[in-house]
Amino acid sequence: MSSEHVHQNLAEEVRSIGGYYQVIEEAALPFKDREVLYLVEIGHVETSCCGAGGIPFIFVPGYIVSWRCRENDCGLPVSEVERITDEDERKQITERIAETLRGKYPHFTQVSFA
Amino acid sequence: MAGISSYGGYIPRYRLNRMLIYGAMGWINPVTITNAQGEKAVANFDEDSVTLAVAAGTDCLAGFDRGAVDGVYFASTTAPYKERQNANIVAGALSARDDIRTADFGGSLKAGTTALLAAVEAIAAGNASSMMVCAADCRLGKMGTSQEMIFGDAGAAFLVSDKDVIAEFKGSYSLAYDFVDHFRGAFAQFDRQWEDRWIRDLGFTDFIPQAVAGLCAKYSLQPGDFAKVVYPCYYSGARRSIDNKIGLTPEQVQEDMLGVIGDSGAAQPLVMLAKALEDARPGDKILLVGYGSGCDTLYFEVTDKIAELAPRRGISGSLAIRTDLDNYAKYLVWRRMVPADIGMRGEEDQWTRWSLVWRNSRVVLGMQGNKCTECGTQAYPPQKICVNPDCNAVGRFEPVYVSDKGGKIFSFTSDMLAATPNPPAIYGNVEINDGGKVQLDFTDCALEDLAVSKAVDFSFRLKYYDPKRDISFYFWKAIPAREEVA
Repeated sequence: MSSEHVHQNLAEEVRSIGGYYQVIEEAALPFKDREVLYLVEIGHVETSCCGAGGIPFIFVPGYIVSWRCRENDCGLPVSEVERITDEDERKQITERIAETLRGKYPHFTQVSFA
Repeated sequence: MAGISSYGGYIPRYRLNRMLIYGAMGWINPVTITNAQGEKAVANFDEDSVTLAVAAGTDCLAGFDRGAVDGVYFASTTAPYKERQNANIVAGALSARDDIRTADFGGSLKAGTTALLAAVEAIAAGNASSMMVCAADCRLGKMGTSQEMIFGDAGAAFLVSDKDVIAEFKGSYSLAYDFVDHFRGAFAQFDRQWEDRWIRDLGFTDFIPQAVAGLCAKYSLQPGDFAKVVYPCYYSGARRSIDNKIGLTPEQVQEDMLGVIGDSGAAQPLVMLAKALEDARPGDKILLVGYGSGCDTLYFEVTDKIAELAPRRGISGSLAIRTDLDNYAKYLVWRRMVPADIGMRGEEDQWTRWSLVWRNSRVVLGMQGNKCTECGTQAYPPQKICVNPDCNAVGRFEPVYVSDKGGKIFSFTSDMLAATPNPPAIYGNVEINDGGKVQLDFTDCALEDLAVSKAVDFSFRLKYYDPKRDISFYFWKAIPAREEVA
């Protein structure tokens, strides 16, 4: 079953209460004759009861079904993706992404799936 | 007319790629990758805020009479001495007279603009004809912090006078707030800061537009009247907000050079101003903003004289002279952030004999030699009997400063046993142009950069640091002539 993924502008601070997140890179990973969309992101906690800090992570919306096929009400591009639910596929994709990004983004170890 | 008559800049030769910092320390604070773009300027192991200020001041004074300077102001938040005036060391190294006014400005990142304001107001009041303002900073962030990524080392200097003014001082407006965004206690080595959002949204994004609005209201100006607006702010997102809030076009905003130098603290607005003057044209109005514990705004108008100012290295020329510092651990050792063993010779006690230093202060700080009034033979160190065998006049000398004369390498060697945080120690003899020979350390170079007869410049550096007594002791070293390096 497909779902929508809204593409945020790269490096833009998407602000919320207490902090913001940034998508610093988005890319497609070839996997079993399909393409997996993944985002390199950072979440910043700036103002919270427990201090300041943050976490870098990789977010995987899913397999690309339709690339940037329309715009949403805010003018941001929207893609159609198929969520990845199979645990074995998730494990293989996590390993492939970690391998791909090891040199460019050291210390990015957490991979989350939609 | 009071204003800026000359400017100079200095960026240390070594540049540290921020991804090297991230690679080493990102594990402890991974979000610092958002500040890991580009590189930052790093002072050599024998540089500090005083030597950076002297280098910028030397660039600024090129072609000007040093004896005409009536005062030297030094601005920094990383001055090596709390008691012993740092401005006097800078003044000595710049060969200034004794009957001048000197002062240290610190305690805030707007110390640089406050010093400049004090100097132009002294000129405007008729209390001096020519003042030097030198600002430099070498701030440290703890390992793994965003400050470590952001902070860079740099210096800038301005000659302020009532003659041949290239940028006329038109007015100022200041705000003073005890707004504690960054702070260091009296004995702190590292910067501490409060939350980013608070600093960005309440500090930079509020105070800078407030200060600009205050100046505009005071002098019936509009932000659009300025050709360049110079303000420090290391948050790129906040810079866009500030520009929108003030109503500035991208062409009006002076680049902050964060990706090639870093934020140079009290020197940052002055480094940016020096860069702005490199490209300024007659008639341009320039607004300078200093930020930290409030704001200073200074308003200048560029005059026709700017076309007559002799070319200088400036910020652009200094930026072009660069070498990769490809080792994060070396950076830590150079900035004394971690202890390193430099051999048993490095543990020898360094006695600084202040009475001896005083007797030779001009020779040591200003590189003052002398010149025989009978035959014109120059000597350094200064002599009592002329070294010319055909003269040998006794006590017939006039002082001469040789620090800006440069020289040629007579001999050199490298030494892996000598104690230094940057082995091998390289030293040798230099023949000073116009006369005199002196043994000096070589710095800012590798052994392969040197050759007999090659031209060298002289650079004011830390000769040694005595950790037991917290003494920074300075002398001149030889560096490959800048034009040859570039």
